[in-house]
Amino acid sequence: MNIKNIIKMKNKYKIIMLLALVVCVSCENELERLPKDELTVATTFTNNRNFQTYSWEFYETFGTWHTGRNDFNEHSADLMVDGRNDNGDDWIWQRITVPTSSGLYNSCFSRIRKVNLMLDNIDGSEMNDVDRNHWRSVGYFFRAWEYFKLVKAYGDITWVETALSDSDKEVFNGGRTPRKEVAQNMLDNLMFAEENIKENGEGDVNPNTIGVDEVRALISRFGLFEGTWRKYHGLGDETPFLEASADASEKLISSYPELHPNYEQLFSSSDLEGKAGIIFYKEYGRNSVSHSLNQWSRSSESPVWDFTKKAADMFLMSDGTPVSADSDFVNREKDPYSEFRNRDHRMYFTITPPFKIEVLPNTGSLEWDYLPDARYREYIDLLGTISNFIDKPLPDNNWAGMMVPTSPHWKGGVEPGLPFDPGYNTTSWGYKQFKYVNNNHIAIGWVDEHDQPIFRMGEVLVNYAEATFELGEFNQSIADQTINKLRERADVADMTVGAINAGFDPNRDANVDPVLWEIRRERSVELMAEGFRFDDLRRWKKMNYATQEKLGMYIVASDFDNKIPIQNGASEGYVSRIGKPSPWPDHYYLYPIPSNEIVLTNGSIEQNPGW
Amino acid sequence: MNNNKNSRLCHYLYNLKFNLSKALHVLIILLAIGISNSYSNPLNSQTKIDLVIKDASLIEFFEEVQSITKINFLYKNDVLKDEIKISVNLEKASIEKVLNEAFSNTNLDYKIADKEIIVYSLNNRFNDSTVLNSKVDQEFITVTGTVTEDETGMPIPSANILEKGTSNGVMTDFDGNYSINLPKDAILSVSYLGYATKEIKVDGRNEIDVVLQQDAAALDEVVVVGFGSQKKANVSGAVSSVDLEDALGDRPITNSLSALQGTIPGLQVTLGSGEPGSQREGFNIRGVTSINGGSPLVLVNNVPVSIEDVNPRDIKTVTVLKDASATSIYGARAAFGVILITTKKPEIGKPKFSYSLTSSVSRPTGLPEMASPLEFVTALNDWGRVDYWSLGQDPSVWKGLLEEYNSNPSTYPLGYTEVDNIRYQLENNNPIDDLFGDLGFTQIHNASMSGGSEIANYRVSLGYTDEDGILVTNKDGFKRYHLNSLTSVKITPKLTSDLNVFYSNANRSIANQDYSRAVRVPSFAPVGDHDNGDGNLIPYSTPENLVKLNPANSNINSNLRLFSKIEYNPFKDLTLTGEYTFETKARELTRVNTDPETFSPTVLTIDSNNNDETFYRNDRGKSKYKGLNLYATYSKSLGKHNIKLLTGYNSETYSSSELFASRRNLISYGLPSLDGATGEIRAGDGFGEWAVNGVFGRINYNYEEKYFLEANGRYDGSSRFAEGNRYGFFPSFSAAWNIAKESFMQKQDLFSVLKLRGSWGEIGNQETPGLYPAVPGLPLNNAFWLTPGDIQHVTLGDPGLISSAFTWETVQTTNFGLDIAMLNNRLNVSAEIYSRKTLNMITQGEELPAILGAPAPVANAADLETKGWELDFNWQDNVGKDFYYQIGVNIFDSQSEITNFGNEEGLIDQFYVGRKFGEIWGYVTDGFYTVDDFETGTLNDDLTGGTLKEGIPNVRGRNPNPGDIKYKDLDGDGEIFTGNNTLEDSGDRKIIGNNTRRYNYGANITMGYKNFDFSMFLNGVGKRDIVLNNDLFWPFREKFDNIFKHHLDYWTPENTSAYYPRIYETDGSNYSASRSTQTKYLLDGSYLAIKNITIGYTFSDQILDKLNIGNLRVFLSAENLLFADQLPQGLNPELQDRARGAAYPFQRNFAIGLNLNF
Repeated sequence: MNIKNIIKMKNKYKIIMLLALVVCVSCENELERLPKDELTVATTFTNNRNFQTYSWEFYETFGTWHTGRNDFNEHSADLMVDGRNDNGDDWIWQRITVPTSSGLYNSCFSRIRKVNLMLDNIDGSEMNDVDRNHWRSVGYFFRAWEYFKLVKAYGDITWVETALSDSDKEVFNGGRTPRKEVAQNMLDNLMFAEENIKENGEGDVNPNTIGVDEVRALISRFGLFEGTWRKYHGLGDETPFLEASADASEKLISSYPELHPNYEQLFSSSDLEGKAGIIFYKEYGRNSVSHSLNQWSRSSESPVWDFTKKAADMFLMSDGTPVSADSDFVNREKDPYSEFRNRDHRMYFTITPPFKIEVLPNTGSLEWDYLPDARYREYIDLLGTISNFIDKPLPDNNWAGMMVPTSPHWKGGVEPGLPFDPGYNTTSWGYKQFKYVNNNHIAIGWVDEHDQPIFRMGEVLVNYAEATFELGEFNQSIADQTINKLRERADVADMTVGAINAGFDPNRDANVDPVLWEIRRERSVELMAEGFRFDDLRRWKKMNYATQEKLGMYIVASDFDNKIPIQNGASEGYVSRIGKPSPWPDHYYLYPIPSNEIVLTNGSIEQNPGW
Repeated sequence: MNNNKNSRLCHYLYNLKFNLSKALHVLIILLAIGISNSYSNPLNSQTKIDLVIKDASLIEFFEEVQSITKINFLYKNDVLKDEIKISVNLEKASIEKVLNEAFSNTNLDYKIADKEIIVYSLNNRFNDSTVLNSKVDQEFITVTGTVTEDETGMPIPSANILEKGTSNGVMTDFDGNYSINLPKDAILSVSYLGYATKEIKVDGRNEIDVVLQQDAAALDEVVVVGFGSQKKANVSGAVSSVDLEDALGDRPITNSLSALQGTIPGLQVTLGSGEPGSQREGFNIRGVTSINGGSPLVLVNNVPVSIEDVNPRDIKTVTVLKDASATSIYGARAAFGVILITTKKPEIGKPKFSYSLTSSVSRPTGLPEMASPLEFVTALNDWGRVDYWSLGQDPSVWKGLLEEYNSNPSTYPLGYTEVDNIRYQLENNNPIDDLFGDLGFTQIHNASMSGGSEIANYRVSLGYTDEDGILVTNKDGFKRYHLNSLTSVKITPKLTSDLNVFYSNANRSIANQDYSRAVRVPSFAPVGDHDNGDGNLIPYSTPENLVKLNPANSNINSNLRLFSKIEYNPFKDLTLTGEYTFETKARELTRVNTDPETFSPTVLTIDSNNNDETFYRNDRGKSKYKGLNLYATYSKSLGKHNIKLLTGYNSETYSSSELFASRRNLISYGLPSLDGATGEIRAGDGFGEWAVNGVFGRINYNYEEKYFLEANGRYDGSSRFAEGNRYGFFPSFSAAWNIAKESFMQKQDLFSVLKLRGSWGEIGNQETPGLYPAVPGLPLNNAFWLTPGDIQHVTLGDPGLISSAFTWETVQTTNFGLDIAMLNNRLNVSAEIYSRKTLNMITQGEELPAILGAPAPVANAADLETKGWELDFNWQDNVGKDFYYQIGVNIFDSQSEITNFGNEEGLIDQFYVGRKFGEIWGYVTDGFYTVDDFETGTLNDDLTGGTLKEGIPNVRGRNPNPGDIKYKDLDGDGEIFTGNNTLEDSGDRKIIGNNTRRYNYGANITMGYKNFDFSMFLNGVGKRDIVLNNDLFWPFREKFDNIFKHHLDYWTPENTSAYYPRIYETDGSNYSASRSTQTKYLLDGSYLAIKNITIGYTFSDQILDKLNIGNLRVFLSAENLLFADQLPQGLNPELQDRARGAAYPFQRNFAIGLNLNF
């Protein structure tokens, strides 16, 4: 072979070697690919900082205010009604069916898993005991928060305290854990957390995180719920829970001696940080975490938040007496302007007060003027003195700033004398929700940014009053520490415990102690439209309140072309759009277990009785 | 060397100086690109040569001598039998001397005959002597001539000229000239790929010019298949191909998918928008793929590409591989078909330049027609509206004013008036027409240069596209540059190297305007500027003004791809190929909002202007792709048995990363940037990676090209699956029988091809939810929680539960096909019928109780099946010499159904076993409620509030009135209701239609007469139901809505046979109940589109020759000429339904252009 051939051969080998090299390089671990923007369990649960990073996701359980609104269940109780739902609420009208699956059930267990995954990995971390116990406490708080929702809904519920895998069949088929056991676990966990959590949570670096006050606020809420549920549903063993609630409340009362001076600002201010009486809140910002409760609460789209006549009547007169005690009220209530006069100030911040204005033409309804008749400006002027007028203006406007010409602004009935009747911010029952209406939003994108209270002293005070009453400890001194502080802020005369007798409120439920009746009234007024009422009626076993006929404002039918229905078809009287449902069935006090869960656990999870 | 490759080799090495090293040769070749080769001197037997070889085989010896001297050897195969070894070591020796030395110890002898050396074995001397002697003793002559093409008269370079029955042959040079020595009574055989071979008796002539005719059958002869090509007649899988030069013609379109729509049976292309550079196109092969998605693999040179990156004018042919037997060689991502794109190859010869220009203007194909102000206000009146929302106008007052104004516009010269301080607009405007006020302009330039020799050749093309859409301003535009360069070099006779460099840069400008606003602005809304009275003009926020005022968003995509290929033929029949691709893509999206000050034309106030909402945002992404293919092919014919083997290795990796940053509160609107804003900077990133690799193989066997068998196998791995489940093996088989080749068919000449095909195969689909379904990672997210100061923290998501068992989805195809070519190949018909099962689709497997707290791990737990057929006809013929025509029609159909899915409850909004894809559940319309449906006397004066007669159903929770839609009470419970949404209880709903596009068809007709040519292209959908639930279809769903001309046929007590139901003064719930999905408003989505008509004229050579131009053609072309459908004006069944029904309409283009070659 000559040189040329040798060169040729060499080239061949070179090429083959080159190709072989390329193949070998490309073979190596070629198919092992790991995500670059994800961590693994092993790299997550190492130090305090990583636990903190992981824990931020727990806070998402506090939801977004406007979506939370649908969980409020206020329309299922007696004080509120969906103005656009002429079929009535499904709970009240007994249209609840056993669902195949449930968002509540699924999301709670999904978050419990998240917490359990952290709890499972604390012992393997590099942290010291203080930090370990702190994170264990944080985990216990959030797990109890989820179980509180589950116990409220279902009663007995499977207790899971470790992150399960798909092979944990024995847990799946282990059936439901009895309510009392679950509640005791929760209480024990919360007590541990109260002892071991860092006092300010992550407060040095990140204020407004779970610390000892938040744990106590949850004990206050949960203890009262579980204690009274056990008492009124005859389960027994309520005292430890009531005592835990009262103790936690008492500690909070000494930590938070002041209330926020302005009730309305609790729901309308862009920043609750450091405000008196605020234990824990959710902060919103325009460009990151925002909500649209404000927009929704003005909307005329379903669900529309209207209050019932019963809710309106809950608010005391300024002198501390109920409207039922005044024989002239049946005349005064025929005109909203007199109905609203001299009432608990919280009424003006909760239900849109009456007014009428002139919306100026050719301004796109953006500008307005007073009408010549001064009566129409009474509450505009009043709100101007008692509220932060910039955050919460009266007259009301829609999301785009277009003025509402009148209140009540009836849906489907044209107000006589109005130049025109825009379709926004309407009410079907006369009492339009006003609590969350404010100007902390931008007029596009449905972006609201006013902060949401999660634990506030208003609730702790009424929890304390109620728990001490149930423990037989309520007295004038406790009334002064609690209810009278709230009344002072609302410009209502003090409660004098000794003066409350059987005749104090002629409309009282005869089965409820007169003092307890007033404590419960204070609770419903202070917490109205915040999502407590349905659970309160259930724990008191008083859902019969919700199955009474829901009534609205007193009107004369002919004023609205007879388009707004009145109770019993009368020509004037209270608005009544749905009628009277059947009595509340006992088994409705607990939710039905989703049928999938029964099937998928081979029947070891049993349905609640009656469903 | 008994084939004519021999002579080609000679030619090609002829110019090389044989004492230079090979490396230097290559250098010279590279430098010499484009310099034409010169050819053939007769053998001078006095030539002195140097030759040093040792132990070479006879073949090697022949080759070596040939490479030096260009002398052909003639021999019979038996001389090779003894496998002799030859050694020669001579300098400056004559041929004879070399041969004597070489054959000294052998049984071989030789004779020299001019340019040939005849070698024969002495053993067979007596047997061969007659032949040899007769040949040797013959009189040799030199024949010269030119080979040209029949149609154009253009010379054909590199045509093969062969003395029939021998290996004596030459090739034509660049001008089609040849010169060959051969016996004077020999037969010349002249052949060239794609042309019918011609045989001519020499008969002692010295000059023979040959004209070759295109061979229609031969044109289609070779189709590209996976990692190779095959004679079409030999293909046994389901494969269709289209010559895109024909399909595209001179259509003024810039994207390859548009060009493919309707051209290939089984390939469904949906366009979705007429917006320049729109990326709303969708395509699939044979319908529904998997519930997890999956789309065809698009390959250029075996490299996966995005089809939108391909310049349609670089494409030569497109082949679509449809069944598993055709695609399985590509593995991992080829489960749902492969689109193989072959780009234009270099043309050997003198440099050839070509340039084409298409320039077009366009207008929208159909805009919705708005109701006039009077029609609008009349409708409000009819619906009982007492005021209009914007200013509280009273429609009855308004109507009076409009009637007055319409009869005498000079009454209100301002176009509006005021009554009770409320302004009433009277002028009739058309905001939609104003928005689409521009003529669109499109220019498409393409230039290419091609040439070179057999040794080194090249093609370089440049394309430039500039589209400006039909919106006012040029903010809706699309510009793209393409560079594509292909260079091919034969490094040695056995080693070829190709290099392809591809670069594209596309810049799409997206008008910052929501078209859905345009359909909401009524015809009475004022246009232009609002005059405040103080001389301050503020533009109305009409759609037109908003487009003009807002800066456009820009989306830039660039793509650089380097492809190199080395092909090595160590010996005859074996080819080794290595291909390596590196591709990098970058995209950049810039969005700016300056929130300009505008005045609302409806509520007549300044629109909210909130500086906080101005922002600048920039998104950047880049990706890298690396691909390697190594494969070997071997083919062998043993008598009537033909075998072809392929085996190879494939490896691909991909990685991508993204980064975005945005900032609010621009300081200056003129210079939007991060630094030019004052808000908080928000930024984020993302990453992704995958890799696949596999080995593959194929065996083709045929007997006499009559019986065909093929088997494919691929062993494939994907990074998406966990170790242990990562690899899958996917086999496929096919067979075919060409009946026309059977002896009993030889007597007929009707059929030239009559082939039955069948195939079965499996292929894996790696499409999974997410790139890392097997890795339980904790993704980084922003927590939905702020700490004081609006600080948003990063947190971690859940690690999902991972089942250890899940792996590839399997796609199983069974295909039967029939190919017919008949009537002298004038009629070609292909038919396919198939079933494609997508098995073990990855979805939530075994359902687990919710207390687990996480979704059950995914598993291979669902199946679906698609069944369909395809038909393709093609007829072509000439009438006389001057007229030719061709008609191609294809039609195809498929339907898919779920055959396995875990939905025991039978929920109808999920998949369930037996669910056909596209099915529509709805009510059956039973007309409108009439007055007769109500108890006499119960209806109010305004026909509301009545009591239904016994037995007439109502929608649950609604109290119907006359004019509302009445539905059939299918379950007979007296009430119309959805039931509990399961198959068992679907209430009064049933399956009323299906929105699958059925009977897709395409047709093209081309014809030519002398210098004129004509082409027309149609496509359409034969059957489809659609439901439209938008503001354009439905009148006045809410008070902010607009009213269009086609909305005016609504129910009133006087018009009870209307199309639309009763509409109320408020957006009442009765009207929404009337709008439920139902048979009455199930729309016919079939259509026929005349996509294109082109007329061209080619100038004759006489004129062009004087101008030194090779070829010049001019043409007129009309695109989207006609769209015939069943929907109201402004709605198009092929436009994707955007918010409120407003979609950027298709554009109708009218183009002129030219093609120039020189």
